Amino acid sequence: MRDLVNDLVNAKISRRSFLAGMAAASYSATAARSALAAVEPFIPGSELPSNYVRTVEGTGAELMIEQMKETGTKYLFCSNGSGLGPISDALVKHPDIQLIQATQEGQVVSIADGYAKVTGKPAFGMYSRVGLPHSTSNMYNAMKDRTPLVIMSDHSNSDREGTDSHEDIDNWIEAVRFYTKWRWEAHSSERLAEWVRRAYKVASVLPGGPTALRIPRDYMYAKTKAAIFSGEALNVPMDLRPDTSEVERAAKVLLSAQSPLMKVGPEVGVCNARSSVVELCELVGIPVIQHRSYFCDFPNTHALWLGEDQNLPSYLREYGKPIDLYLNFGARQDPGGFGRRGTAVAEIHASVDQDTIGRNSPTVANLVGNIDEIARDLIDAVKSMANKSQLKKLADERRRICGGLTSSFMASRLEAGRLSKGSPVPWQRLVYELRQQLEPDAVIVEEQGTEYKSLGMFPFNDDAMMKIGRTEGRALGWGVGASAGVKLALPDRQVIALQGDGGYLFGQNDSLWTMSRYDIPVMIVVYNNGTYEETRWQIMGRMGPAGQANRDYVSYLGNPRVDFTKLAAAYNINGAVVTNSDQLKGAIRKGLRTLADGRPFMLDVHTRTLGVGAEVTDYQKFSLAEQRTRKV
Amino acid sequence: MKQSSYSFLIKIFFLAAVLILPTTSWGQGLPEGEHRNKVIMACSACHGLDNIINPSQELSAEDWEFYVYEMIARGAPVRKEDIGDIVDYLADNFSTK
Repeated sequence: MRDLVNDLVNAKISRRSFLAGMAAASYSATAARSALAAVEPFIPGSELPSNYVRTVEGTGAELMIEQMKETGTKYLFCSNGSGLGPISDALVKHPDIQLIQATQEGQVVSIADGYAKVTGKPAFGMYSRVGLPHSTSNMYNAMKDRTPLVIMSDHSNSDREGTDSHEDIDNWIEAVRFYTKWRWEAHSSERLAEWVRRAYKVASVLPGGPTALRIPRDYMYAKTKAAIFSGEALNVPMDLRPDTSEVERAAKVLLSAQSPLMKVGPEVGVCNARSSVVELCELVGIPVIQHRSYFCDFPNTHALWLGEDQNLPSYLREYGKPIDLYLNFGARQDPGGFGRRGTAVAEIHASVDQDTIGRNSPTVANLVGNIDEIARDLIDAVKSMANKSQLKKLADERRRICGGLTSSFMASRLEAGRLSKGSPVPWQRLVYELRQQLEPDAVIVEEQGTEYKSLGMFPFNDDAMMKIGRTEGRALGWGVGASAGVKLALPDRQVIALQGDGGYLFGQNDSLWTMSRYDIPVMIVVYNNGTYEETRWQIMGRMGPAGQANRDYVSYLGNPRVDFTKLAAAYNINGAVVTNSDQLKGAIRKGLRTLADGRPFMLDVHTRTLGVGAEVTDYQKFSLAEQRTRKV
Repeated sequence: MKQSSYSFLIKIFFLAAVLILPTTSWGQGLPEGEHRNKVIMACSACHGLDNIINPSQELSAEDWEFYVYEMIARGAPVRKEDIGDIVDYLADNFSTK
């Protein structure tokens, strides 16, 4: 490709010859056209297309909006603050940008995050200058997931910044240094549009990530003139192909493996690579395990799907050969190597993230590029090295064994869910009942503990249900807002948010205001067991002094036991409390009817807690009222 | 902010029902029975068997049923036709109330 580009730029070949040469080099027509568009401005005698850049006059904020619109954005996620003043003025001229307002900055980011995770394109958010600290836990989540976001705020006026005066501290932007891929404090009004598009570009290029922009408020009010780039000019094709010789090496290793295993991670979903990864696995017969991911990165009803680590022993027992090759496609490496067991299993790592690839354990091949391109190149390489009958022989036995387990384990989960009953409600029965009633293409937005494994009862695939969450960062307070963002991105699909009561109470009630105001019909299902169950297991289960004394210091959530339907009612959102499994069916039906009518719904399900400390309702008692000497 | 490591938690979960006492080796301590091997296969995919042999709580047959369903929902590798056998084995041998 490099030679073709050189020839084109040096006017040795025509555009037509360039496209023909790319096709001959196995690039898709789309990739070839994208490459041509990228290199076109450098061709002698060629000029920028007339629609690529235009000059616009207006306030700084108006230019920011002009540039945002060019990216195709429809929404600006925001919260209140006088820093939104210049943007409010600009929107009078630009009513086609729809504000989606939240009442707290952390939820601005989570809503934008949910939207961006589904669309794959940067979402824009904006809040007041002092709102930045509120927003950082979800900025951190977005950074861990490499979610493309452009988060903006105003800043002290240019004659006051750096003075430590009203609403100012030194180095605001340093506060998000580790939670952003790029960050900037603006220092001139005429360059605001430029910084907006830079933030967008950096956020959008794989691996994505949040970017932050702080703008002195007076710059946004100031009249200026600037170049606005068209969205086309900002498009950076990310069909990056891996090194050819590395692909060939990987193919040889793969074909010589007796027992390969693939672990898929979120980059598979991000790169829209599910179908090519499925094709690769089918070609050679590679069983698949899901790494932590906010997507389901492989169809979980597929015959090669093993799901979680714990299913691996069952497969190995039947197959009879230990894993000798581990293909990590699109996930971070487990520290210490495959399965964190420190065993010497050869690993092929495929990732679009140069910071991640080969980071934690030794590899026999590193494939840097778009996961879809990597899978396709590997398919081609494998096909060139082995004939159909050889491949069939390799694939058939593994596929047969794995397929038997996959269907059997899913059937068991459903059966266990169906059989579970009582009061409080076993949560697996809740999942089972949801499975019975949800639409075949419903979207599940989850922020749960190990209960997330029960989501294996739902069929996830490109043409079936979709899973979004939980974040790799695991900072709670993301899921409810994110579900609103997901619904905005997918208005014609059912969206269900699954939350623990503890996770919900990390400030997520704020997002109900947004759902209610804008008629965002999401059903929020709270697993209300009155405890932070998994921290209780961790703290008491260690059998240190607290565990031995059977004392629960920080996990019990009763007293007061929260009624989540009452919280929802305050936002004019209807709901239902379920205390017995017999009530589930009717309550879910009621909730889904409410969604169909265009309103959100709160389903508060009292679920059973179990394990160490389950019976403990004691905590470090304290009543300030009793400490008083004056009853005022 | 609450953080969790799932692999760790799934182990701790079994400390749940559980007070870890002396380590039990593979299958040791589980009484003979028709379905003993199914229990070993299902439970030891994620955790040791001490949790079953030395539970910290008094568990009824109904509790065992609940725990088995719960574990399967969390991904314990059990075939549908084996669910009842596993419940029966645990309830018959380890119910304490």
